[in-house]
Amino acid sequence: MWDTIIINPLINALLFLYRLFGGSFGLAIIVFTILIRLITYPLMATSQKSMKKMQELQGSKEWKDLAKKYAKDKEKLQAEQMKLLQSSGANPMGGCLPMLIQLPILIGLYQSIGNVIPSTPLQLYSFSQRIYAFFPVALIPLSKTFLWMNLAQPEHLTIPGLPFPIPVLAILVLITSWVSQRIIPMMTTDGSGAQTNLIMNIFMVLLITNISLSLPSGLSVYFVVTNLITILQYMMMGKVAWRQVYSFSSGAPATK
Amino acid sequence: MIRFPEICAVLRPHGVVQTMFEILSKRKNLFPISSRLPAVAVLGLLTALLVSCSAGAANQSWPGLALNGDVAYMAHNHFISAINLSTGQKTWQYPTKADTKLLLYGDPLLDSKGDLVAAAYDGSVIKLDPAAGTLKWKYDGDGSKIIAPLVEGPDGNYYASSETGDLLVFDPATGTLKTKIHLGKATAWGAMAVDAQRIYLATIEHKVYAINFQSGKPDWTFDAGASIAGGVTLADGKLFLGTFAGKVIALDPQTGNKLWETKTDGWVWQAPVAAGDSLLATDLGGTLHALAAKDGVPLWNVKLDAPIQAAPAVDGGTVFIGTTTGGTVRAYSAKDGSQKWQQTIEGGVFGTLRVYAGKLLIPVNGSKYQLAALAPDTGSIVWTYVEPV
Repeated sequence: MWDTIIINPLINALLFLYRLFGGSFGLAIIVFTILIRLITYPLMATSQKSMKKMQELQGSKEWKDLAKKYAKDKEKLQAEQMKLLQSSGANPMGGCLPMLIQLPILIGLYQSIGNVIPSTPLQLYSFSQRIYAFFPVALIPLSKTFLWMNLAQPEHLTIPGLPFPIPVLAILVLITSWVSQRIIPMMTTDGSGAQTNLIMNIFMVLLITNISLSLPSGLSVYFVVTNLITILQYMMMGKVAWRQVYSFSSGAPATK
Repeated sequence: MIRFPEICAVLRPHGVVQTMFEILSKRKNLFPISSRLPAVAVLGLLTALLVSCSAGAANQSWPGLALNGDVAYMAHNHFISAINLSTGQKTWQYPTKADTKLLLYGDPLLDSKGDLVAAAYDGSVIKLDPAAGTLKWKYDGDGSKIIAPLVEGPDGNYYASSETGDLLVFDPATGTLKTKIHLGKATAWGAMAVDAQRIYLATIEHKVYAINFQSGKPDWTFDAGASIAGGVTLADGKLFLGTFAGKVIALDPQTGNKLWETKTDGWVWQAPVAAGDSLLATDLGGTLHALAAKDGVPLWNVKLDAPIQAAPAVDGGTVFIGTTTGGTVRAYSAKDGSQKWQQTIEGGVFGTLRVYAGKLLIPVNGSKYQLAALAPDTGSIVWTYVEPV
């Protein structure tokens, strides 16, 4: 079901782009990622808008007054906060639901890129069961080369004179992940919230870099492109926290 | 397969992980309790759903077999196992602990001296004593994949097709790489064939090569127009192969001229199997074809309900075949294709079926066992072999 509805259509869309770009999977992955992000942009924008509204409400005088007034009665506080949420039109789930809707597409995009570059017989068999009948089989084997990379293998660039290969793509993943992660303004603004945010940022960037070192470089290309698009989207929304990018401080964020 | 850390990594740039983290954190003022609980429940359910949806098969290859005496030598994933055909029990296993770099594809080679040789995905080649499973030598390779089974030439050397487009020639005594014959973009995934003059290899890059042992150069090449994954069969003075374009093709091994071609119902994965005057081929459309070997004229065919990746076995007037999904093994009369029996096993049938020592041996993928031995006359399961993890 998951494969039929999500993965296989995405794989065949990728193959269509592969043909369109003269057999370049690198270009196909880049364009495909951009297209998917454009399609899901309204959902992301809705989510950001809702989160912003929620953030503003939590910083409002009314919210803080309620917290002071009912500091000793948690149940009453929750009831009053809920009333305030309803009257202001803010929804705590409003930022989350649009994200949840796009999750299957994002996971499917990632899986389809992983499946579309078969490098073993078993992977090729699996691939053969996913492609639509009208796909010209003469295109197989699909070209895995993009720039200096074999997209089916983890990437390392050997530079003459250097005794060890450089994982250029993983470094790009690390940099773009850090930037795209840190420019997102935090919902929470107190010290402990910023501290946990910083720890999570570092953990996630190290996690994704480690994944990039071991996975086929086609997926790392996807990571880099999607990070760049995220940065661009936040820049277009005019709500970025550039100072966080250069800072390991867990202090309250500065936004502009 | 996608793992949970990868899910986090995929979702991270979209702020989802951050949002989840904040929702799930114990920050009291973020959301009222009544709103936080449903959020936690929804996110938990979704995470579980995504993880379960993305679970895939752990196996990375299907078993390959070599047979001698009362022993089946099975190359699969990270091991070569010697299995007693009478009992289905393991005699030895190499290596004793899984070496994740050693990923084995295809049938191991039993050479003319009875030694066991196998190539691996990391480009290494190993030679084992078939009696004890001890290592005689190992060629470490350069990391370039070798997928097709090795073949022994008339000169006694071992030949392997590397993904670099080289035909590698190994000294059988020491495992030293004697020479490389560069063919360009040419990687064999299936069995190569040899005669006194040439080695024949069919490649995933569409071309068939006939390399002369004397000159080390191609006597001829043939463009099949589509990938050939299953290698070639040399029989009755003809070279047979199947392509992803759904064609079974016969070539003249002397000239490379096409003698005939026949269309099938889907990708032909395996090389056709010669059985007397007929030729048996399978396709991923689920059809078993019996063709006349001399001109490719269809004799009979049977349409099954699932793709067939495996190559059939033929013995005593019976053709045996299995499907890649549903795990159905069937026996047909080689004369007219009438069904004799049907048996269901766990998982899917991949690779090459064999009839040997009174048993029908089925390589299995996606099951708790990797090899099943059936009685050829009834289809009853005699034993199954489970590879140690």
